Amino acid sequence: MRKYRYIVFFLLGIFFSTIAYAQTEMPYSRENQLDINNAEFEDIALLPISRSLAEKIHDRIQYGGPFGSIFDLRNFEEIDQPLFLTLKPLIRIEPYMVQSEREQRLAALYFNLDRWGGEEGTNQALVDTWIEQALEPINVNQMRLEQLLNLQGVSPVDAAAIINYRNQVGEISSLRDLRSAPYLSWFGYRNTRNFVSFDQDEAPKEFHGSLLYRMSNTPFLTEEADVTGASVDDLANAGGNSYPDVYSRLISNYGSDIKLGASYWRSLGEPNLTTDIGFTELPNLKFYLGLENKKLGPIELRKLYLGNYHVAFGQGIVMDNTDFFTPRKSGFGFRKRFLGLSGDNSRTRQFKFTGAAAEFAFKNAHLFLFGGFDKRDALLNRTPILFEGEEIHPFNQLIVLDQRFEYAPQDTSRRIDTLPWRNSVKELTYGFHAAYDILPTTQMGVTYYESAYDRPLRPDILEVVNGGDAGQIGLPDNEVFNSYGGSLSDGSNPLWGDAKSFRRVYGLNLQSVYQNVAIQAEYAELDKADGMALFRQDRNPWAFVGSAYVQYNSFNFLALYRNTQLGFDNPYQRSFSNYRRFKRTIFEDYFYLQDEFYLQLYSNNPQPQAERGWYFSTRYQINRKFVLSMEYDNWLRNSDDVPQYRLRGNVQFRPIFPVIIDLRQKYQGREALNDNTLEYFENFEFRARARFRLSRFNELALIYGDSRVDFRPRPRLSFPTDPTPPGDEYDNSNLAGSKSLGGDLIGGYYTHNFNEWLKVRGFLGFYKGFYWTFEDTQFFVVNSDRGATRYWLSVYSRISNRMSLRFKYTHDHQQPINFIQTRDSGNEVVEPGNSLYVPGQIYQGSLQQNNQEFYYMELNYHF
Amino acid sequence: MRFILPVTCCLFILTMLLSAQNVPAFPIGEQWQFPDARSLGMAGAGSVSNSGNGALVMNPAALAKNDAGLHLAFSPMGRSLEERRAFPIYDRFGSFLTNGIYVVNSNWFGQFQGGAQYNFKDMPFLKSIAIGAFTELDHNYRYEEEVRENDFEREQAPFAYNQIINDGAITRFSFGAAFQLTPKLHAGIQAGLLSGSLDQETSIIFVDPNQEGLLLARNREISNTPIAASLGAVYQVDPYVSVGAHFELPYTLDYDVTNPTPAEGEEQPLAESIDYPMSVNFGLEYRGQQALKARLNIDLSYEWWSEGDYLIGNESTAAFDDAIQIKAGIEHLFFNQVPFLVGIQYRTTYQNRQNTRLMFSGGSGFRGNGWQVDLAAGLSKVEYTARDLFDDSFFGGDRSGSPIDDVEESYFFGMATLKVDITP
Repeated sequence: MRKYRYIVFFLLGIFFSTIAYAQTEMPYSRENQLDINNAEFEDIALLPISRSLAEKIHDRIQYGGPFGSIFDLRNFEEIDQPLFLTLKPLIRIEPYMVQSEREQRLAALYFNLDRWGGEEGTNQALVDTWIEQALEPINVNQMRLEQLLNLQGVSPVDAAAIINYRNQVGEISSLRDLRSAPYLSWFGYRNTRNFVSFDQDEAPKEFHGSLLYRMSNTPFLTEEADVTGASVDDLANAGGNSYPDVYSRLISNYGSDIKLGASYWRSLGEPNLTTDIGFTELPNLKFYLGLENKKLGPIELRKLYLGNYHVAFGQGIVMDNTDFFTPRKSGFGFRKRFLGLSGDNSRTRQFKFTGAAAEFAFKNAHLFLFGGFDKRDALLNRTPILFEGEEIHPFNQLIVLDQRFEYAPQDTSRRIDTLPWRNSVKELTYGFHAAYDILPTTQMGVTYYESAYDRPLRPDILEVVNGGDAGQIGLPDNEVFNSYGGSLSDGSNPLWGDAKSFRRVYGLNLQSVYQNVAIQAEYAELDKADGMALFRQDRNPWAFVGSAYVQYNSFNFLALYRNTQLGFDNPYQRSFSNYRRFKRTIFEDYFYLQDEFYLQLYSNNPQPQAERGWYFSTRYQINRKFVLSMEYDNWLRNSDDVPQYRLRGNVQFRPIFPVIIDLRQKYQGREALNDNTLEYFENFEFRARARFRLSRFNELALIYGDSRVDFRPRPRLSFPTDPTPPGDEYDNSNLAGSKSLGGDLIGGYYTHNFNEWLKVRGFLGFYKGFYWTFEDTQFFVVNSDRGATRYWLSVYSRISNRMSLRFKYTHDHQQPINFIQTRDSGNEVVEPGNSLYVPGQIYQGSLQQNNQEFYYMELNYHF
Repeated sequence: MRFILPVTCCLFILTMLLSAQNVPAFPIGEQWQFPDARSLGMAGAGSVSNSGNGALVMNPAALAKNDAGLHLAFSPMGRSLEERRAFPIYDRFGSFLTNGIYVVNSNWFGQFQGGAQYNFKDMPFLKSIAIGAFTELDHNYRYEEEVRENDFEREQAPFAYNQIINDGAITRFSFGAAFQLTPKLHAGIQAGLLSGSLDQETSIIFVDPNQEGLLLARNREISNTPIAASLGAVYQVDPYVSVGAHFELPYTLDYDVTNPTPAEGEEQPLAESIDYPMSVNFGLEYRGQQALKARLNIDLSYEWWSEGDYLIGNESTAAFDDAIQIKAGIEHLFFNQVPFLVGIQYRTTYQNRQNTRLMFSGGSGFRGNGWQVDLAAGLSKVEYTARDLFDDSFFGGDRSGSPIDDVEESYFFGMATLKVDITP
């Protein structure tokens, strides 16, 4: 019996140990399910499956992402229906790990981040702020007016509506609460909501940021106005290298009060520009360190930036230090400027400030102080002057260079005289902006700055134009003749012994919002030592921009008046205008200039042209199906009083939600001043686009364009239709020249989202003539004389929640031109024997326009 | 956070270094090393993640990461080169107007690569052995230029043709093995025997058979036993990140140069010797966590061309610049079966570091049970200025003052790889 007892104990022992072992092997049940998305491999291996299948499941979660449903398990070949039914009660599907708030926002806003990643140039400070603030929103109850104004698509009326409502109710506590702010438009609300929080708790201090690396072998263009045909050709042919365009940028912050940024940009074909730091050379970086929201007793130190920074105030008449020109920079919609002070990470290199700037506030008063010392690119005069007993080459004009070569490539005379244009003038600039809030949304301000230079300023036109072409200087060149400079700009500076000339600009600005009406104005003068002029045209040159804006939920209207006097030559002015400074002057005609690269005096000039006139803009959403918008601008160019106009109308028709039809018509022209001028032109441009929104945000779009530019035939580019017989005197009574240029475009886009991680976009089209378009994130202006087929393909891949990569390939296949001959004004071929012939240069050939291929890569990483 | 510093450093180093040419490359050659279609689809990136036999030339340590068993690969590849040469045309103001293209050559060349690899299942140290044949230097090239009167008043048929024909390639017969040093660290070694011969013919052929043309022909036979040896390591940092390094040792190709059609009394040309540089490649693989199983591959390599010599006889005739290559590629996997690849490559050339090239590529394929087909294509275009290949003054033309051409080379690479896996 004892023996059997042992056997029973032994069997029981085996039984219980088996149960215990089985529990170790498979501890999951209906009551104790495995959270498979967050399980380690060893946990998964405890399921009643093979080890290799457990590895596959773990791999799937680790690299393919979490399961969305228990039925995803059926995608494994090894899991048949019986096994699936066995596993189903043992497993539960939970969201993969608990994401940080930042990761959640990254996941939620990836679409916006994708879009902003490619945006650059004029709005860099805005874009940086949007990225930063979208990922770390600010409590709406602590936001200041200008912070709201700097948000995407938020009008002054929207910003004031939020401030006023906050003051009225004490605190805005939710999105619903925000939506109920009186006079806040739907657009204003929609554009605000991604950037604000209602959380009163201070976010933990962590180091976060975003990295961008971009490389392309085509100039990255942000605005139509950035492009001239000549500059693109020049870019393609200039220089002795084929370096791509490279832009890297880091924005980062530690908590909400410490900001750090750095960026590097090298333009297409530009030499490597480095700074020697003794033991090695570093690429010329831009960087900043910022401190925000500190208290100095009763005074708030709102911002302190060291390094490179950007400042802009009011309407940008006195100060907005960017290298980029934005036409019709009204401060509304897509034509905004970043108001106030920010770190500067943009591609701006000429008008960058390197130094320190701070913003202080005391109750309703604000004070910005800024100062910087830097080298500027400028065209130096070859003719020296005697200045305080010293022979010195003055500078003629500041110049924004596409590629910062040390010398203009073909200007051998300046090279011999060692007169480089890169870094040729040193500039000390300091100034302030003081403002007072009369009411919470009514502000008056004063802005002042002074620049001192280490060379005298002599903007002599003959130092730029070829001697033989001086006779071509005409009435429009008044704009050049009125550039600031000459002896009145000579002067010293108490802070800088090397200063030889100066420039001083001051101005007043006002902005006020009452209910749904916003009024903004700025007036400024360039000090020519005549005291304050205040609208007296015979004294200091002045500039004025004033606007009134009214907004309803489905309707808005903007009226703006601007007047910049000819002599108001302020290099930091970026106020409203249609054209760049020096348009239609001799600087626009490269063949009259001592070096064709001096064309950049016009083509890259970010200063507005001296214009005066009215601009109106309106948008009216009639109903869900129709939206109308219109812009009308009528102005006179101040140098020759030539009347000009621009009228653009858009109709958007959305018969059903997924179908959007856009029709756009533009009329633009310059009226004939008199019979002798060549100024007249008229441009008609029609664009039609139909977009079909498919599932998963996929989209098919068809585009059609037709344009025509009519102008007066230019005799110097024309030839007699009936060539003069050899030996007869040249007869120009039968001139035939091009009177009109036509353009056509037809094409289609397709966007395919495989899922939220991978997107492919493509375009195929045919165009002829001049054509501008946004291609994925790039802006292109192209021209084909004989027509061209163009296609591009872009792949956008989000490798993870934090990292994304974009590749793009563009091909432009041009129809050939089979016969070309350069002829002189007598319609004779320029060839050996012709007086214009220069040995070694070829004036005739059978040619094809080059096919063009562009590559683009962009990497974004958020941490 | 763990990527911030390395990624930042990489980005700024890239921007610093970014600073290449072609037909004049003969007989030195351009190395476009795409051992398989996956590699081409990612523009040459993926040295850390390519565990097929292409790892022999990319990083032999990665051989260890393949599944146990026998793996066979065969990769036919086509390469087209469209070359356009143009001269500048000026307007009446003497300003450059545009480039007039005077010759367009478009040719296709083919090659085959492939090999075999065996991965051991339970071997503690030796994980894989492999053999393969890969194109090291492809010299195939064709050029034909029509010669006409430089006068458009008279439409004329060509009266002569300028021709260049280069044939031949240097092939690497490669052997390698990969080892596991620690659970996360693998090392690899590779030795490749280089073999091949090159022929070059430069000729001027007149349409009129009574006019005597010119012919310059050269044949190059390798006279030494060059070995391209390399070492590599791959380290898995965590489940998502792996890094690798690959060192290629320098080698020298010695050629016996002969003229197969010597003129009477003409001396035979001298022997040539070309040093190929040491290079280092650093690779990174980042595997994201997402539905399409993304793998980002970034490779950065540096080649010490400035250390080498190109000798004719005993005379050094060329000085080269060190070159860099940066490659980035993404691999997605649809439905666990269909890869989707895209990549971009940036490189400077050893002839001139200021000449740079970009390449864009993509690919796809299908993975079956025990077999896989990959397809990939790549595009690259480079523009540079170079001396006219034939001096037109020979024909009495009037282009002696403009001997510099604007050259535009467009490459197209197409490749297919068939892989067969025989696993236990």
